[in-house]
Amino acid sequence: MVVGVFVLVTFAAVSAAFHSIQGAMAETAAAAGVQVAASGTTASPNTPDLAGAYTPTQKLLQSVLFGTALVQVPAGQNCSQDAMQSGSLEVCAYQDGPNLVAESIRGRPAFPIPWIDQVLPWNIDVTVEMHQVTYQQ
Amino acid sequence: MKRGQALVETAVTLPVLLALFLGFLAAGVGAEGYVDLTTAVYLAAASNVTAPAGPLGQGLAMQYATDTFNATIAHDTLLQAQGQITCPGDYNAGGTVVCQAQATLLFSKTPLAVVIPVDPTIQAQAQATRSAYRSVPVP
Repeated sequence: MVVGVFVLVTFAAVSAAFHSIQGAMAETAAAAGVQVAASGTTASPNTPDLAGAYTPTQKLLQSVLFGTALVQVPAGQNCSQDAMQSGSLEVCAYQDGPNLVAESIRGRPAFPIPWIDQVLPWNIDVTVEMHQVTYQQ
Repeated sequence: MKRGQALVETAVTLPVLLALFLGFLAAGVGAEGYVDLTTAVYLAAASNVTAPAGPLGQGLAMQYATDTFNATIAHDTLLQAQGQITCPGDYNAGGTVVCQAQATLLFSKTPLAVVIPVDPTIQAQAQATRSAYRSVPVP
């Protein structure tokens, strides 16, 4: 019995550690993306580059995805409410009010141990915001 | 006899394993809270230095930093900001500011409150430098 409990606790602890790593990386990746989103587009410096947020986010998140599908939501739209599907993460960049730009990463990532994400609700729901960059002549 | 020995071993080992698991969880939650706060302060500092330079731009820069920090922290259910973010430093073109903020890590909002009865205060700071070519607003 002790061996069984030990194995269970070990798996749960490893799973919790992976979740922490993925959560922290999602926060960092969203911060990198929102900085691009808050900047201007090449066409207009006063228009936030919402579509540009995905690439830096995806590059940073890639190393901890473990097979998770990363879904780019069209620029300007928030993540869907039912985004908590196992094995996928949504990346959304949108304007929050007249001056703030937000980026969300939401979903349930896959784990190296396949069945863990079916048993434990390790969701990721990260949103960061940044004041839009302004330009003057 | 053997059955009794196994029972005693289980009774001794189980609390230790449970404490270990909860310790792992608490460390994970604590690390995540700290990363969240550091990210909010970092973005606030980055936002601060995008405002125009000079004394006339300082108010705007602080507004950018405060808006960014408050909006990011508001999405975090585990953190409660304590006071306002502060960003002392040089607001001239090429100057550096250091933003600092404190927040309470709300273990009490998680099941971990059973083993961690206190909500610790954590703090973070981030530094950013304004572009040397950032323009100064005309009064």
